Formats: sequence, structure tokens, C-alpha cells
Amino acid sequence: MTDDSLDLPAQKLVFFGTITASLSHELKNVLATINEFSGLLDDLTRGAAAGRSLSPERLQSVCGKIQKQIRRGEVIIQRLNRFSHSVDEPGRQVDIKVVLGEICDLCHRFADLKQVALERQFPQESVLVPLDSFAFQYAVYLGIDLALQAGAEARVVTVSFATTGSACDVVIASADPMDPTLAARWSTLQQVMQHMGGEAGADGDRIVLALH
Amino acid sequence: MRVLLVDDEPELVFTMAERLELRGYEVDAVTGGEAALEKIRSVIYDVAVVDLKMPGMSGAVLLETVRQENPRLPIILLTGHGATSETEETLEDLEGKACAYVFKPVNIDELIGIMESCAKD
Repeated sequence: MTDDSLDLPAQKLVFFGTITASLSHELKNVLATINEFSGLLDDLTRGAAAGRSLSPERLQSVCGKIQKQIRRGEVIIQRLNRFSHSVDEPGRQVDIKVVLGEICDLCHRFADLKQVALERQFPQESVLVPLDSFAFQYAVYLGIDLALQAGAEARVVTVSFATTGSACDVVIASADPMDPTLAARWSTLQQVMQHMGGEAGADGDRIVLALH
Repeated sequence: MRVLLVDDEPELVFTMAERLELRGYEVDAVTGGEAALEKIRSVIYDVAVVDLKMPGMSGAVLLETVRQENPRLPIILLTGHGATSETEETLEDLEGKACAYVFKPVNIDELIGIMESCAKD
């Protein structure tokens, strides 16, 4: 959770920390699971040495599960790597669909913890725009966070975007109206969007991030 | 000894359960706080090992609820975090309510030592 009392550069650093802490937590779970599988293999082989039966299928099953966790860990590390590089070259041409997909991936754990399904409705085609990817991801994260704070649990938050010429609107929609008490969070979101030459607005249960 | 394991990582919690069963423990494993509460209300456990951060009912909320309903059940908290300010604050809040804290990845023999000690107290 970001501290809204800080200035923008400091808030961006807190955002960086929030995302990397979340990814490190996910990685810890991967390692903890591999640790259990490894321990189980050790238990099973010790049992076999002591005369208990052990089928090759059982060993293969555990090895397969370890490989699955390794692939899961690779995905998390790739996300971490892409996120770390999002601070490189602000203003370069990026595919907004890809960057939006990446921040949705990074936010899925926050949604999961609140038992909210984070869905995306993106157009088929790629949309290349010059963008400060890191600031854009921060703005979308703040929008998603505001939507997650709204209303009861067990809901759906949908992220979509539409382009008109060189303008792009990202819409974060929830079934519940946004919480008006989160004024500081709104103020930060507006600050980040202004920094990118855009603006943030609320329309009932929708947050609209407009990039010009 | 009858043990309840609670963690939202299914492969972790079921594998840990299997390893404890191989060592002679009777284990139930569930993947959420709500399911854990149901189990605790219907089964007598000697100790529960509960993940701190879970979707829905977190380990902290489960601990608070169980302390009111079943003050004698020893609860060991599992956390994926090292020493962070957030974890420290949560653990300080829960001081006196949890029997012990264990950090992931778990060393099964250390966990067993802690479980045995908590169940005795």
C-alpha cells in the first residue's frame, strides 16, 4: 500500500517497493513449495531404503510438480525483470496492450487477496504510443487499488482500453461506486496522470485514465 | 497428535501434510481461513499451523476468531516474509495470541519441534 502523504518521486519509489515485495512473496511461496517436494522426495527415498515400496510413477509425479513450480517461478522472475526495466527510457514507443497486461499481471495477487476477479477486455490489435511505462503502470495500479477498495468482496474489476486517434482511455470498472474517502489516493492518481500529460476522472463505478 | 494445516498454496499445504503423516501425525489440510474455522469447530486438534496471508479470511483474522471461540488451541503462524515492518507490526499485534511463528521455507524437523512444544504447553 502506498503512502499518499509523500511527494510524487517518493510515492513512485514506494510503488516500486510494493510491487517487488509482492513478487518476492510469490517467489517465496514457489521456493517453499519446491522445498516441500524436495523434502518429500527425501522422505520417500529414505522410506524405500528402509524397505517401503516406492513406484517410479510416484517419483515422476513429484518431479513433474517441481518442474511446474520452476516454470511458475520463471514467470514471476520475468514479470519482475520487465517491471524493473519499465523505468528505462520513459517516452519510448510501447504497445499499450502489453504494458497494461503486465500491470494487470502484477496486480492479480492484490485482487486475489481481496477475492476479486481482475478481468481484462483488450482489443485485438496492438496500439503503439510514446509512454512513460513506469508512470503509466503506477497510474493503472492506483486505479485498480481504488476499485479494489470499493464495495464488498467477491466481485469483479474489469480493465479495458480504447483508442481514438492518438488518444487512449483506460477504463477500470467495478460493480460498486468508488470510495470517496480515499481522496488522497485520488489526488495521487491525478498527479501521476498530469505528469504524463493526461487526466484521471471518475464516472460512477468507473475510473477513466485519459492519455492525450 | 492431530494437526490442522492451513495455507492457500494447495501443493505446499498438501505436501507438508503428507510429510507429517509419514512421520506419524494425523493431519487435515485446508486452503483457506473459512474452511479452517469449520474444521476447528468440528474436530479437536492438538495444534494448528496457519499461513498469515490468505485470500478471504487471513491467518490473522482466523487467529483472532479462534482465540475467542477456542482459546486453548495452540496456533503456529506461517509467513512467507522475512523481517519486514509490515510483518513485524502484524506479529506484534498478534503477540500472545499465537504460540509461535515460522518463516517459509519450512524445515519440517524444526516445525515438528515447535508443534510438539506448543501442544505440550
